[in-house]
Amino acid sequence: MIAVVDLGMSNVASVRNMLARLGVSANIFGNPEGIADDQPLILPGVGTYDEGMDQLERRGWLDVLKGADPERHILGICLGMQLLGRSSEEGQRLGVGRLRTSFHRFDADAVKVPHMGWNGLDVSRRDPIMDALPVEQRYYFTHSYYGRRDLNHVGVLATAHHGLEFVAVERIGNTVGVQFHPEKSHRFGFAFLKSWSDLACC
Amino acid sequence: MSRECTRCIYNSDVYPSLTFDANGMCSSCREYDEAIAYRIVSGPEGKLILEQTLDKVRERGRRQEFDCLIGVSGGTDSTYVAYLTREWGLRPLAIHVDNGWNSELAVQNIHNCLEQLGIELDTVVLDWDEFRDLQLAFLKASTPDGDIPTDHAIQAVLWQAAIANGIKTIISGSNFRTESTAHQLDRSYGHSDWRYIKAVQRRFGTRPLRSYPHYSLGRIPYYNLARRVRILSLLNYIDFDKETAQGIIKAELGWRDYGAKHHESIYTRFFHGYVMPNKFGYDKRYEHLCDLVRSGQLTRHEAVAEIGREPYPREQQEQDVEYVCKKLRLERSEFDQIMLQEPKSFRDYPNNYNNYLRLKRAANALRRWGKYPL
Amino acid sequence: MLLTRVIPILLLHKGALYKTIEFQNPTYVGDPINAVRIFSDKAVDELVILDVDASAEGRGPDFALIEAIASECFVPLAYGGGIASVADTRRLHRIGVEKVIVKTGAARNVGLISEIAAVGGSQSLTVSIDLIRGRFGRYRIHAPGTPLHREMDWIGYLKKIQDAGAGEVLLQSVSDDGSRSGAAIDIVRQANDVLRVPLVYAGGVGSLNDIPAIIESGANAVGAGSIFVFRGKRRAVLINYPDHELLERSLGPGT
Repeated sequence: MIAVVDLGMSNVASVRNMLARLGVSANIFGNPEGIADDQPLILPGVGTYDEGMDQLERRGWLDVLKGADPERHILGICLGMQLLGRSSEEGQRLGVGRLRTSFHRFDADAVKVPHMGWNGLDVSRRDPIMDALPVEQRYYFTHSYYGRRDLNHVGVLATAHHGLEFVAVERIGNTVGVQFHPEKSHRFGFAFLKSWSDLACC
Repeated sequence: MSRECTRCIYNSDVYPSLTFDANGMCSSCREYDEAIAYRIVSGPEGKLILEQTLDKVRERGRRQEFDCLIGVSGGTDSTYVAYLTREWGLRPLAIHVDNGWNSELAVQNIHNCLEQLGIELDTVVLDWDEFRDLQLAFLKASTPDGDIPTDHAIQAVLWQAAIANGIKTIISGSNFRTESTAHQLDRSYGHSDWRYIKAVQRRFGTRPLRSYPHYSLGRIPYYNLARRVRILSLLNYIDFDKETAQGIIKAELGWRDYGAKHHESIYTRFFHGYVMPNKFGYDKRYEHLCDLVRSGQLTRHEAVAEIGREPYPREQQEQDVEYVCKKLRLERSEFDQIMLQEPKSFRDYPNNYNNYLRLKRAANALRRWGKYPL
Repeated sequence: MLLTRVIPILLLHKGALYKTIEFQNPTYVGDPINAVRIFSDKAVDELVILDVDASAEGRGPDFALIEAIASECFVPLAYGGGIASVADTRRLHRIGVEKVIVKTGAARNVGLISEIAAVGGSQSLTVSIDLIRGRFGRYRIHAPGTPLHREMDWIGYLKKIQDAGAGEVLLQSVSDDGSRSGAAIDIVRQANDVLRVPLVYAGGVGSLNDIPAIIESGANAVGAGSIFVFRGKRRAVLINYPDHELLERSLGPGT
């Protein structure tokens, strides 16, 4: 059973609905009480960075995420991915640090901000999660801050392009972050969540 | 001890009033054979009758923009009928009745079919609040045909559209070979019985039916005699077999399969595949499969194998139940209660069955004398 | 590569879907839940649902209905109608709405935009403006019941809402609504000159062929109602949406 983290500000219903269609059992949790240490987590996110970090702390998730075993399956979506990262220009607080990316604001003089719409991926590296997905894939993005790809960062599984190349999928151990919204990317989203949940659970 | 027919796949558990002849063939098969003698034509004689019939359709419609009306649902039969009307140079107007349960595939199939064939379309969208209430009323009435609200509305719309557009011929996709009437009436009676529908609505409905398309039994002679509108079941005039038909519409019209009969409507597949077996202990596939066996389109062996399978995947059944509850605004517990209610039949409610029988006998008599279309 | 979004816009009126012509003469389209399910199964780029009565009736969103609709939607869903507070937007996000669309609320109080953006982030907020074409081809804002009704300086308003933190702007040409006779390209160009946030244009799209011109003039996405809901000369209700290959061919490569 996957635990979908509810910070009071995100699209938890959509994630759970998509998982339900896939036949994967998932439940929404406002706080970590009753969740096993090895239970897979999904952290969706809509909102601002600091508020996200504040809610993680207030609801008791911060320690759980910081202290979780590297082998524990955790999926961060959009802001969720950013919260799992190092830091973001959007906020003052530091991120959880399970992922290694830092986030910066798109340059409004160069491109439209936010990056909003469907975009494809450039797969950087082979990985069981990405291998199961169709070559021609596209996902829905909607964000103003992007993950900058550091040169030696082997955790980047895929990038996307909006004026510049940015991190779209990152994986460190079993912590995965996706900048796009699989729960709104219809058949591509279904395929991605299926691929991830096949690995994470069941 | 359950007895099985040697020809079709009915048995006395499924069809309690069945009797058997010396060869083990059941009474339903016998009814089928008797009726098929005058409900279809085929072969070279059939071709001649078909030509004459088509000429009549063209003649009666020659001064109008359209010479016939076809109902389209995205299903095999209505799609094939649309194809044939074009093959035979008719000028159809297509009507689709949207009851709020179309699957995406149905809508796609209708779209592709009409695009390819260049056929104009009118859609009647049933008032969803009224229709939902009526469907719920029928669920609460606990009778075994959940599609009466839809089917009655479709027929009413066809009559009304024919009259409104000055069209004299409605071409139906029903076909006797695979949709015969040689089945238990109790399971499927009521589509044309407005008295029965009104009674159920009055008893279990919560809002008046203001815009729901309907017609009383007495209107049928009126439509036929005074308005001179005829219903023609085109597929009864040809050597119709499902597999060939599907092959043609797939190749010519890009038609895609739903996986099973009537699965273009989410509610129909739910009612036939979930409610009927689980609440009424009745698998509706028996009817169609028996007819397919009798018309030589399926072997008895294949039919037995088919009935042994799930009507459709369990997981999808569950999702459909959730969807139905969502649309009908039913709590799951309320729905479960409905499923546990004792099954009833149309006989438990005011109905017009006797008059219906009279009309049916009259129509069949006329058919036998060649005075009414098949 | 950022694909242009082609977005069906559906109107909610008394809990049912309708389609209008110049915001009048609504045609009944039916149950919103099933319609959204069909669009979602067709994998549309995005869906916009607007409750046309909410603000006029002084009420908020019908959360129960929206939740039921959103649960059938696996494509991005944007909802507008009667949103007047941050609490409204939070609730909408939780039940599955990606973006909230504010029109009347923002026209009454531009501060609402910053409040919502501060909490949900700009990308979760679209501000919508309706324009009517008057004499000499000049446009004015159509916002009955607000101080902005008939305001001619709609460009000024665009700048204001952008500065206040809107993540996207939805520009609707009322005069072209339902006409299917082509878009008001002029306002797209003028809007694009001042906007750094994505621009969605709606009104008058009669076929996919109308879209490239709108995109070339600076819109990032195009909304349409009639072409996805009606079919044929007799305007029969039948939901349709081009498949991805057809869209790419119509819009041109890399759009």
